[in-house]
Amino acid sequence: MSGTSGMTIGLTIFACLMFLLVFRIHVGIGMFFAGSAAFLAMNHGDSNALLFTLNNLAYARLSNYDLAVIPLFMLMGQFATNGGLSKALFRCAAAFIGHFRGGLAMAATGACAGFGAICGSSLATAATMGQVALPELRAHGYSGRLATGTLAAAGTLGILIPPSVPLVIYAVLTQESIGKLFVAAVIPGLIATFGYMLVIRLFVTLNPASGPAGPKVSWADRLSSVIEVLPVVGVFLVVIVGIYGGWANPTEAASIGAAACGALAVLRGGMRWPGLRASIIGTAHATAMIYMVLLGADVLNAGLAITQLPGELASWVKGSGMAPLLVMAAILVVYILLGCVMDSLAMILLTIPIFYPVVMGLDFYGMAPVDKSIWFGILALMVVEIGLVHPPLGMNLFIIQKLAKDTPYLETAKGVMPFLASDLIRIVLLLLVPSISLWLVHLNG
Amino acid sequence: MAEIIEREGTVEVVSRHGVGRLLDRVATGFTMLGGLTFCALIAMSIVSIVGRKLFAAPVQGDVELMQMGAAVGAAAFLPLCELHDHNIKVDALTGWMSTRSRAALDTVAHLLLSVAAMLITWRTWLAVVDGYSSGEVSTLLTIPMWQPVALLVPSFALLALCGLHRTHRALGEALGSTT
Repeated sequence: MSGTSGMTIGLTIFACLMFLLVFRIHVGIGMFFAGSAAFLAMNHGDSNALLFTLNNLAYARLSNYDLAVIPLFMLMGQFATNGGLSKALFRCAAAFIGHFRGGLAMAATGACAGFGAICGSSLATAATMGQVALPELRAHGYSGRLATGTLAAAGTLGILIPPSVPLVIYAVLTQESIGKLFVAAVIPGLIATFGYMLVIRLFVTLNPASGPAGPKVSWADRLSSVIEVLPVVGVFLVVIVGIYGGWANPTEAASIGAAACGALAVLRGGMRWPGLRASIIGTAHATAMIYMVLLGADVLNAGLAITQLPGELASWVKGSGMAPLLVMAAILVVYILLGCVMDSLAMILLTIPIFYPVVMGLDFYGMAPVDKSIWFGILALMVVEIGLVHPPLGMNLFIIQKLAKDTPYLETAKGVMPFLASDLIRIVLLLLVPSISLWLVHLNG
Repeated sequence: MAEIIEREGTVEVVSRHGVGRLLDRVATGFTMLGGLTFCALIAMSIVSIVGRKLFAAPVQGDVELMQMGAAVGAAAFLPLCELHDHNIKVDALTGWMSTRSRAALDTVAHLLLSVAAMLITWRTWLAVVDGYSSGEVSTLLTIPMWQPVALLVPSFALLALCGLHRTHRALGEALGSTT
């Protein structure tokens, strides 16, 4: 069958998939059947090729060595939540900067960044830090709008700061190095943290009553609070330095991290069988929902590959003479729009097979393919993260909302707006200056 | 983002009687076995890293064991996720519909999931039979490859059953029964 009619079939299949997804078919299952339909259409109704692909689908996907980091990181995050680390992080940050105006909100941001360094999930970060920090912020007279906005936005540091589950998925889809992507995410993650703190600073300057200064803490108390967070620093260093230093691969580093957080949860958090059981069930839910989409994505990608849609689209975009940055901006806007209705991981799995060849076919600042691939991964991470916080449907907003019963949803939505502005500024910055992501990767060769 | 906490409104109240309760017990059992598999893999990894760094003696075939264990463990997680209705779907665009219309769509969704799970169960079983007759073994540990693949089959079969149970429940809601 010729390439053009393959492309027509590919586009039709994609349109049908969108229709299925709008009407509540599970994302992975929609992809599974759309991919199957592509196989059947391209083989004139002959099901042998499809059935042959299905033989090895489950084991080939589930036994992928790199993907094993996902359940391991999930378990690590669950243990970290049970280990009382969020409280120690918030206390430590508050001891140092709580006495500034708006300082406790900044401390909550810093604590989210710290928790993000050992947890790959934004919702878990928002939920656990929300539980710890929201009551404190409200007790110290912070306005509901600032408190909830801060925590909903800072929760996204869970994925912006490595380890980060969306980056693992991106790495597996594009055969990219997980270690390099994690390292590339460090500086953008720090910029995000400082951006959020700057927003808080502006917020309390314009509206001093919303974030009063807290009491000053003595140096002795500050130092003792630092000792409490040392385990977090240790786990982060083991995971990131271990991966990047080359003495542990990501899967091994995740095993060490999970074991360390598990030990902390038992020794400090008092985790026993019920806690372990809850951690395993949480891990199972989070892992299974990702793997279901992955299984469907495999069938969809195999199906789309024989229609040659991704390749045709990439060469069409390349041949059209559109400015590469404009194409990239359009892709990022598509992500922000999709993020209004779709889960971020599902979004990455659905779109990367289409967008990645397009991006790799274009020239950006004369970058080498490896650099381009890492840079796009970080940009994609930044935009899908926005989907978690922008009203009306950002999941983080609902989570914080649930915790802060006295603050109306509209206040939370308004509170998060200035943080969204800082997100957009950061994305434009990363788009225009790729070396922000790539510098640290190059530094270590 | 992947979720590791309960979503508001979808926290599952598992039925206290009959099939639902039985499925919940079995699926939870699978989940616990999967979780303990991962705990064992973590221990194996650490022994391997320490052995490699200190004594230049890693666990023989550690990568193979991780691949096999992770596949079996992750597959065991799938049924509970479906039984608790945690699979990712787009529910933002059907908010305007009545509860019963949404339940009707969910009936189709869960039924399709069951069909996919049955297809995968069937084809994975064929892969087991193929692997058994070809006698293929893993490179380092010479474990027959049909063995880890065979351990996936019960998980996918249970996934199909959990999908059918949710189909039945969604159909009941769509038809307006009170349970």
